[in-house]
Amino acid sequence: MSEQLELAGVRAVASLSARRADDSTSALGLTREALLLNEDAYAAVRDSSSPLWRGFAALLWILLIALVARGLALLFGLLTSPRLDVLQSQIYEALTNLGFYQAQAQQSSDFAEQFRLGYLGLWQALRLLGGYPSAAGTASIAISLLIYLLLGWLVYGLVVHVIARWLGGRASLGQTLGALALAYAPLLLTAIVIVPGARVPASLVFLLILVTRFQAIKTVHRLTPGYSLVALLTPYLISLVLLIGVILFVLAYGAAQIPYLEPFLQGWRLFSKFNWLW
Amino acid sequence: MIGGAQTMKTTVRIYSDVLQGRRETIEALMHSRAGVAFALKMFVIVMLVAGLGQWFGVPVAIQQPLVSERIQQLGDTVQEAGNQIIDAIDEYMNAITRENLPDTLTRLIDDLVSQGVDAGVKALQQALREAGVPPELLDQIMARLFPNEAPISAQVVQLLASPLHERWFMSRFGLHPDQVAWVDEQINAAAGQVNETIDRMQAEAEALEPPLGARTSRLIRLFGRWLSTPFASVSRWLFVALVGLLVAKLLGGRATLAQHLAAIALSAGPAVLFFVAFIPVMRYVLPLPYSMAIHYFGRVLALIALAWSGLILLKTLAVAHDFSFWKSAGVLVLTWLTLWVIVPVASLAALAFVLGG
Repeated sequence: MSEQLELAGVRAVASLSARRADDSTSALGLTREALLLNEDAYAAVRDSSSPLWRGFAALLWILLIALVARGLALLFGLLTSPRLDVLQSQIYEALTNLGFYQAQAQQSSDFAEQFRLGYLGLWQALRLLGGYPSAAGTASIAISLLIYLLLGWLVYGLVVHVIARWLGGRASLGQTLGALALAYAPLLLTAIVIVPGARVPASLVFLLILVTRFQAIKTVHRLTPGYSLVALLTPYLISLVLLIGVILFVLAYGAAQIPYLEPFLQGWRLFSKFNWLW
Repeated sequence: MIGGAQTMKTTVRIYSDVLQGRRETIEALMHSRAGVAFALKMFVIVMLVAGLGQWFGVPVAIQQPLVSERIQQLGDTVQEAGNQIIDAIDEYMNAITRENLPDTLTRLIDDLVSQGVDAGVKALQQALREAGVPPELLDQIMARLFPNEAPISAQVVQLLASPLHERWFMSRFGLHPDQVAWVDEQINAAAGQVNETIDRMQAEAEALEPPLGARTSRLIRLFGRWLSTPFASVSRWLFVALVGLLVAKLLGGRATLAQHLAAIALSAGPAVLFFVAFIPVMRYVLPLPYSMAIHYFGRVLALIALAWSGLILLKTLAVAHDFSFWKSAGVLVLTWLTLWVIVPVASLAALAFVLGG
């Protein structure tokens, strides 16, 4: 009876259509397989005659889809969101009719222009912080996405490659970069923002990219899971240490500008040395 | 068509097996590429089905008043309140007048009528006419003394009563009746101004509405929120799942990352029971007791779903990592300890080390 059930289960699963990503799979198909956590997609890039270009083609598809989705999201978002531009102009009109504004505008010739620029900047900031669709916000997201994807891919790929090779990895730089380009597949999920009100948490995309990067490193370098994890996380650790260093030195630079802080700190160190007295 | 029906039948069968925690099916899913993809897709579909409960928010989205409608309601309320104030003042003044003046006035009228004012005035008029006073002059005098058609006695009472009113108001409130009328007028004028302002606000609020209309936009956004349901759910659990993988690996687990995540995705099978929990607060469209009943029924179903999912998770983890049932339970407990005890303590220790230098 148990064997029959087992057989039935296996048959049922076997009847699902399984896709094996190989050299003939298109860049978009590879991206879909990577999104479904299929490690064969990275193996296909690794075994390709030009792994770098194959991965890069997938990355371009991801970028294109993400950017088009952002553009459409802006359009549909504007169609379904309150018209902030009307409110903005109403408040601007009310403010410019105030006595204070009139007096300042008469006193200083460039006050009106400065006020207008500040007012526009404030509204842009409000739009960005409030997640309101705006052309400037979408443009800034698109530019950051481009920089994050292309620069992040290259820098992260180089660091990972060095570490993976040091740990015994066997992939070439082209294979590493190609597979890591494909590992950006979870960014495709952000295409859902086309529908107003839909969103994918950034933390989810970040974690999924970690997952796909892990699979990419493990597959192309044929490393053990432990070494793959080390290769995956080391660039993040290096970035974190560098960030802490930068923050500390920026804070130190700021603190050094405060008068009497240095004698106070010296006094405090002296004081703390004698705290054993009590 | 037949192929589609067959696929659907297979899918339902596998889903049913997963809900029953059948080891052979779970094992087959874990060890095939299509099985892992199936698990991830099943998770998305299950969460979308559960998220359908959000569509019960459609009546709320349609019935909830827009900003412009709220302003209109406010305008109606203000106008009604203004009218009520004016009515109340008028009524109060009339009541005071009726309560306090009738004795005086009634006595006065009685006196005048008993003394035959009408008859006396008419007799005087006749006498003057007979004495040769020109009728035009007589008519002019009468018209000036008694300007309307009311009985002469009533007009005499009115002539006498007005100074009485004034004196009475002055002594009681320090107010002249004209001042009371002025207050009425001011309230009317203020109500007019408020109405004007509210009309303007309403027009401005309507100008702010989305180009596709506020209610249509609400429905579209509801659709968007529904589409996000699987992603919102997985974002809460993915980090825990990854920590769980580390723990399982440390305990000798054999599953790959994809298999481990597929095991967790499969355990979400009973999450369709979250359907009722996803129904939004219905107190705007239903009586409060029904709304509360739906809410708590949803919580009960969610509890059942959680318990059921927990049992399947123990099974899927055991199959994926080749563990015993109890070792799977140990992985879950250790994952919880890692997240809530080990990581915070280690972080504090690291911070103490850095600051201690």
